Amino acid sequence: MRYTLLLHYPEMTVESLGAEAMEEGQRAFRSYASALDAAGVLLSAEVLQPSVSTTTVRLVDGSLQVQDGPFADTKEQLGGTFVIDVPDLDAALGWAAKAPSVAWGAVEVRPGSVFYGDGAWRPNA
Amino acid sequence: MAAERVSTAAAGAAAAAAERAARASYGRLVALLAARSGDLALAEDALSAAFEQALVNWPADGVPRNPDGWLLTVARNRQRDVWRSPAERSRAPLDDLAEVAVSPLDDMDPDVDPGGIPDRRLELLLVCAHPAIDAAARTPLMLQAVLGIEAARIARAFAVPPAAMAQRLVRAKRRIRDARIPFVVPGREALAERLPAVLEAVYGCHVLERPGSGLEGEAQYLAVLLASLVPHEPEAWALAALVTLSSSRRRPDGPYVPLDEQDPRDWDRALIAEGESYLRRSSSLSPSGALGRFRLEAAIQAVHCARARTGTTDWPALLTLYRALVLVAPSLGAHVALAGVVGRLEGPAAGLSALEPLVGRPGVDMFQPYWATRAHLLAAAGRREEAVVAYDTAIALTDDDTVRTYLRGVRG
Repeated sequence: MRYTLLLHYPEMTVESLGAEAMEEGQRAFRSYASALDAAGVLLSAEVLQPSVSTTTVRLVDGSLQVQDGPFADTKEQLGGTFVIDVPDLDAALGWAAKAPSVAWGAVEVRPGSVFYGDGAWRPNA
Repeated sequence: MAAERVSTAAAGAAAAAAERAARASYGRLVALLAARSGDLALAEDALSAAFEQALVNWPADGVPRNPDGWLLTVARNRQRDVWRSPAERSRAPLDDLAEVAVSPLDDMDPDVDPGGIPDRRLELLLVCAHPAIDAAARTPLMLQAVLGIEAARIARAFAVPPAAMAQRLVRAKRRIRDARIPFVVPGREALAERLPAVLEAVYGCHVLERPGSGLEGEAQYLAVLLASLVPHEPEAWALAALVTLSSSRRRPDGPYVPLDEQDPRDWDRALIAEGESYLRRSSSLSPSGALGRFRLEAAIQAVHCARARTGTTDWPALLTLYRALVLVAPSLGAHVALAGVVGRLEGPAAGLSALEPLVGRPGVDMFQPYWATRAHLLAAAGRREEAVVAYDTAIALTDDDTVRTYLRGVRG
């Protein structure tokens, strides 16, 4: 069963955080990804650029609107995703609890519905 | 005529057998049917179809030698039919289809359970009280999945509209299936983390179980079942003791009588003895360990019940127990009860002082026991006018007619 871990946390910069803490965070994410990989459950992992770099596209009254900024302007932003394949929710929650960012933000555990592969949408199972 | 009588008798015997099977086995069968696929709603539907089939077949063919095995087989076939239907085929995991091709009786392991049906009800209880399930849905889920109580009856007990309760249950079951909450008993450490929520949900059933709620006896069944499934957990036996001892004083009809004015001859001695045995079992499991909340609450119930034997209530013992309880589980209810005991032992002024720290705490304005206790203490202190105001507030917050009538009587 595929689950996507959505990492939400307040955005931080090297300036606000300090180089050392940033380095520490990166180290934690490296070892987290290796642990997922070593367990054979990691399908993909991505850490996103801060929401100042994001652009949102919407159709408003039939016309395309391109706007700078995130979909929802909240204190905590989506900062990264991990797609994992594990037997059940308890296993997914276990991995979510180990995500380094739980120390400073929420980790949402969302079961996948269908995924695309080999030319077709396939049910998550 | 004779043939008709025979068939009526056969129908009666079959209905009685189905009823017994329903009560004893419902939760076991649901747990087993839901455990692999995680689809609780389908498991319940399949089982109720099997029961319907039993009411048709058993009067004609006789009650099968192994009614549970029969019901399980019919329900398994029903599940398989649904999984194979075109609507479900795209969704049903392939390994589930392969799995149901084997005989459903393969699930029966005579080594595990002499009755032949493995007991997965602990897994089911853990699923119902899983942290990913809305806390407000946990008790209703248990009542439905483990005991087979229909949504409308649960809705009545919870005082919510039947449609709202049905929706809450449907949502929770869908969540169990779609997020794949596993039917497993976790390791010792994780079980210890998960057990409090299960105990809490069973306790939630006990709280609702007023006379006329339609749930009488159900909390006791669940609590004793849970304790038997985790026989090494002192708090589970303590909860069984708490619920059993309080049940011994349940009065089905008639006006409300406060506990200390009840005649112990009206209490159920057999339930008191049963509850006391659970409490002893709980104590023997953690002779020196820290006292849990349910142990303290059960001990409080045991002190009250002891009046049936001794003729008196040991108020100093109650004071000690409530003082410990407010440290372990500082609920409003525990604080109010403590103030009541202080009032009785040290006089109404001391009781009122014990209530003082609660003023301004969230929820206290709407907490009926606070106002009822305050009213009694004010009346005992001779502060008549304030007492009437407190009684009126308590009366307005009471949803039980007999309690309201009682409070109006003492208010004067």
